[in-house]
Amino acid sequence: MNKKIISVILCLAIGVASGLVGCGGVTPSSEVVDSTKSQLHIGVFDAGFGTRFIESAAAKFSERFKDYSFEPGKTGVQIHIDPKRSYSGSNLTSAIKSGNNEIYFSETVDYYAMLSQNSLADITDAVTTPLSEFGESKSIEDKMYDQGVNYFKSGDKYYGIPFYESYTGIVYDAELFDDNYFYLGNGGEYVNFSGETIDGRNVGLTAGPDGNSDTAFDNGFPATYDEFFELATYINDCSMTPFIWTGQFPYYANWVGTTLWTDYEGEDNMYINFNVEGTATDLIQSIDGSGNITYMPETAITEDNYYLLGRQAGRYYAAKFLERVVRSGFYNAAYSFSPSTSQLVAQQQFLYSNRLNNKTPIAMLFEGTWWENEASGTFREMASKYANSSKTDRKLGFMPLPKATSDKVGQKQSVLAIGEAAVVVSATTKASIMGLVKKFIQFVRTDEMLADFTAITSVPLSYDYELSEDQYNNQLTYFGRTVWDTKRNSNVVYPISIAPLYLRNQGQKLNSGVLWDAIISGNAVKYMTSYYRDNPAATAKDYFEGVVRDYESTFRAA
Amino acid sequence: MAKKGVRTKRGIKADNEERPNAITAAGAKVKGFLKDGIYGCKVAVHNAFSRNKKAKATSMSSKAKKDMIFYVLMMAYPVLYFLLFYVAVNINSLSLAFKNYDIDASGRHYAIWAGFNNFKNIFNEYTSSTLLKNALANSFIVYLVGLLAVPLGLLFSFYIVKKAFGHEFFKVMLFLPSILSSLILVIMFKYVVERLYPAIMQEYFGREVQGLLADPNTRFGTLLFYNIVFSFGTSVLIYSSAMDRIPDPILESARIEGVSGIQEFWYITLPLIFPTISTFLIVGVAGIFTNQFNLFSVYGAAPPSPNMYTLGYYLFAETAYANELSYPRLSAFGILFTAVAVPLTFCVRFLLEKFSTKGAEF
Amino acid sequence: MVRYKEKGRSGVSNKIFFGFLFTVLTLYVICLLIPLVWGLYTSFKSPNDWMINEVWPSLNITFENYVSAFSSMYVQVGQTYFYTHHLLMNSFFYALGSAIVGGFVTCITAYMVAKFNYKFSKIVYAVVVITMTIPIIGNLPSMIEITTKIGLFDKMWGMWIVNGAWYGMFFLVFHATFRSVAGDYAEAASVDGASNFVVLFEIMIPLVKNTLAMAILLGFIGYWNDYQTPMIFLQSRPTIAFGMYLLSTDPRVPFETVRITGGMLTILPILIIFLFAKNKVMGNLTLGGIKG
Repeated sequence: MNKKIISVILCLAIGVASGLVGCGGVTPSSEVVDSTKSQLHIGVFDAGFGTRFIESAAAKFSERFKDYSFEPGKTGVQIHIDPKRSYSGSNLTSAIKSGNNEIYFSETVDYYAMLSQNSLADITDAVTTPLSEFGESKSIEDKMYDQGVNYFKSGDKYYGIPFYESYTGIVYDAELFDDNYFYLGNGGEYVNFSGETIDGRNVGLTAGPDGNSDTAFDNGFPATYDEFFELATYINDCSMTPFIWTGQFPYYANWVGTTLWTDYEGEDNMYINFNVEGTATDLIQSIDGSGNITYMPETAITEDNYYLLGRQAGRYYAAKFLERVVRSGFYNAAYSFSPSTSQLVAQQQFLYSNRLNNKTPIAMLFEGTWWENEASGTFREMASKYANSSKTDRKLGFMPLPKATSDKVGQKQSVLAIGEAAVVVSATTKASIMGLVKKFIQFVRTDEMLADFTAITSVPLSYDYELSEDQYNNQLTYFGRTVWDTKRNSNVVYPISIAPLYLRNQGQKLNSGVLWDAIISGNAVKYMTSYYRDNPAATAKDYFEGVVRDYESTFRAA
Repeated sequence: MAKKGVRTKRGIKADNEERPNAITAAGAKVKGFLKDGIYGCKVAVHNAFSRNKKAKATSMSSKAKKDMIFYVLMMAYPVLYFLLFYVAVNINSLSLAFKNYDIDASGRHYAIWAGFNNFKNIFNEYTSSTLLKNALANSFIVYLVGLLAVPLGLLFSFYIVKKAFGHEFFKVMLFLPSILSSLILVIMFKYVVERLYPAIMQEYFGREVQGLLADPNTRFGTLLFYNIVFSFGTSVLIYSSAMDRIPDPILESARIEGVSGIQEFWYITLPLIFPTISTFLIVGVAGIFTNQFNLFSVYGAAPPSPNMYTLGYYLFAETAYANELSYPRLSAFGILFTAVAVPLTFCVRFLLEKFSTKGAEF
Repeated sequence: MVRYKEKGRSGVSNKIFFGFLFTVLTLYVICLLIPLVWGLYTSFKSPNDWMINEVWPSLNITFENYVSAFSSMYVQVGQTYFYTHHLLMNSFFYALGSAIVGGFVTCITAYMVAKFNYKFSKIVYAVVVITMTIPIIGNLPSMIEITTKIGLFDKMWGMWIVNGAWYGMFFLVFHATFRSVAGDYAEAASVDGASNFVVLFEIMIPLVKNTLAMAILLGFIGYWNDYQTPMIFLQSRPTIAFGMYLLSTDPRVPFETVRITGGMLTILPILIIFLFAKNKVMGNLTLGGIKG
């Protein structure tokens, strides 16, 4: 009996020992390799955008070149897609060295770090040669914006090209706005999307933050913070909840601040943050107890006084906006600060709230433009039960944001393209398929494929391209159209540059997803909304001064 | 009442059914030793030496030789283990605290002597920020409020030992949290206070409320509550086994006197198992510095507010996401906490001993 | 057991006293069971039903959350994916190996110290007691350094060794047990000419098999549930507890019901073990009273 037990235990021990070799997880091998075709491997950062866009591009490319021989003895191409969470930022910088993909579609890319470790292949000719093979006269370089050219062109060569651009801010439920007359009509009345008041008079929509009624995209939206919070109060009075955001990832709320700050500063002032040169025109010297601001004289910024940029007035006003959001209490109380509310959960609450009787409708969600694609599963689940609820049926929009002060009304909107997304080619790519790789790169940057990406993800790429009337109206969702409108009607600021200070801090403090670190009472504080709520007496002034302190401790030479 | 009187021996009829007795006896011995502490050790070492002399006097038989070889063979591993993972680890920890890492041109780390710099930096960190001050205060609050669990645990154990209604069921329920993953319990509890509670308030009271962990006014209290409610498991097992060892004759005579349950608990049980309680209290002191307050499980790497930190959480979270460069600083923290925890532990022991003697006189 | 008086003043106060304790205990049980029961029936609710009704069970029972949880719960290490069954296997090997190594090393060392009256044994015993009285805090960084230096870091077998700290509570338990029996049995055996090995493995260890089983079982449960140690020390062999930690924070988990289901999935194996081995796990310490 005793021996039996001992032997059982020993057997188990032996079993365990054999476990040493077993059970190591799996490396998913790609589909069966068709050796008659050239092989192309593409790594994709597996996040909000998913993989549908690249699957679509791969299918179209394979189809188009099915009879083409890229390598001797092979016809056509087989493309393997490898989506991974780890293909971004510094993870990609190390993964690219040993990975077996030729091309990577990624974000928070540390392009110059990869370049300095010789991980990238030269794709200059693909970028600079006109895409005449695809019936276009422009090259990829021609379609790129200056900031992209400056960043990706190292010496005379290109080792990577821009990818998507996404903006952050406020998503609104257009259906709810329309049904409940939450648009602003002339004469200070609330109207529906057609400009009609509740009692049926058509007063027309206001001209919106840009002060121009010819640009329809922002008509009927609050022009100033004050108007915005009046609207929020009105929504609240209508027994609805104005705002919701994710409590698990409190930086989403910061990102609303990022866009407001960018808009306040405008292109020129904003670019100083990344280019580390230029004259800052609105640095705050001090704010007194009653909120009166003393400005510094215009200051030329260099590396030495870069820390002064923590004082940009746009930051203060953005901080003020979020202070008002929190202090108003107009947010969904159960979810917005709950550590269990992931961004998907916030999206679900937002989307379901307008379909379920037991929920208070929520008017606005703090998110980034990628959210719609991320919420695909939620749309599917909803559509399985509720009519008119699929992604294409729902009318959700990306909101033009209001101006901090009335003197800014009329200024063209500026937005920050967060993500630092790029497409790069690995230096490990075999010479024999370099031609194929370059062809693919060119193919995905044709106007047709640029539009295809936007149609699938509702998000634009960082290139200058147009959508046809048909593509805009019939391929984009309502949300996609409002995002496209944002791109078309805004100065887009790209947070990339080759300034040494920027490159040193790119992955950390100057990552476009961060930018709001502060030091308050000696503590590192990162999130405005949590800070305001945890400290009921705290104001935007406190947070602003915290950012100033953080910039001084980070960027001021000791 | 002397503790030794409580511990009855039952001979050494070593059939299998009797093993548990020895275990509890051993349990009592553990407590005894913890109580006797260093003194006990001194005696043990002293005895070892004196007996050794006798052993040397006799010449080694072949059996003795075999024994010795066997002994050396079997003890080699545990001794090596101890030298490595206790002695070396702690010495290394101590030396790390006085070092700093730097990076040379090739990106490799090398250590340099830092003297008391790490400690100075900690002190600066402490004075310049509110985070560590809060963490320190919170740690003590968590510990002190956690003491509430002690009387509750004792009462529950008493209930079980007295085989009152449903005692088997309650015993299982009290033990359950200590075998279920604390992470899962925390997650489930989180969903209850963050989703179920607001949903009920909405549905049945028409009030839109925040979750108890989301609301800054309730989140600390909620975690305190969790910390107490789900902490009984092992302590109830050990208290009740200690109570079980109280000899029947004592209880019998008390019963004849007509004592009630409360009286028995207060006048007999408590004083008799006081050594067990004090062991728990003594061992618990270190918890002030190690209790993570489940923050890591609730919030992941970033708790929403510096107001919530405890020292244990701070140290673990910093270590979990640290690289070699920050080990010296973290080790300095460890050394600092140890330097406080050791005297504090002995202090608590000293006080409890005083208290228990007084109790015995009473 | 001895009964209290049923009548008179002390009878009433007993009723109040135990009645009060019963109430408090019942409240405790409710606090404990709400998350578990609510979690269990929520795991069978479709996301659409969950959005309508977070409080009560749904009549449409669905397993889609379990399917989702299985596919959402994976850990990626470099180019390798660990799915639920890998994580379960890793947990199993990690917990079982650590528990067995720890249990046996503790048991055997305790036997050696108890049986052989060398001065060294006394020192070992004294040292164990000292280490138990001195709380050492924050040597985790140092531990990481040392295990990395000697090559145990991030290895399954390395963790079995690292986790096998024998100088703890169970050492003293085993020691006391062997102290009380070692003499008679070992003498008898060695008279028969049995070698030390035979005495140890065929007589002594079987004698303490219940205690050993309990040490291993408790160890197993502890290691199974622990996500923090593997998170730091065993990054390339993620366990289910760590997978669950990731699942609880992973932004990609589609619905809250899936997270709740993941929790249910992780505690199920332990609950089953506990229900079957309840008396093994709890019995020995409690019922070990000296009372007859």
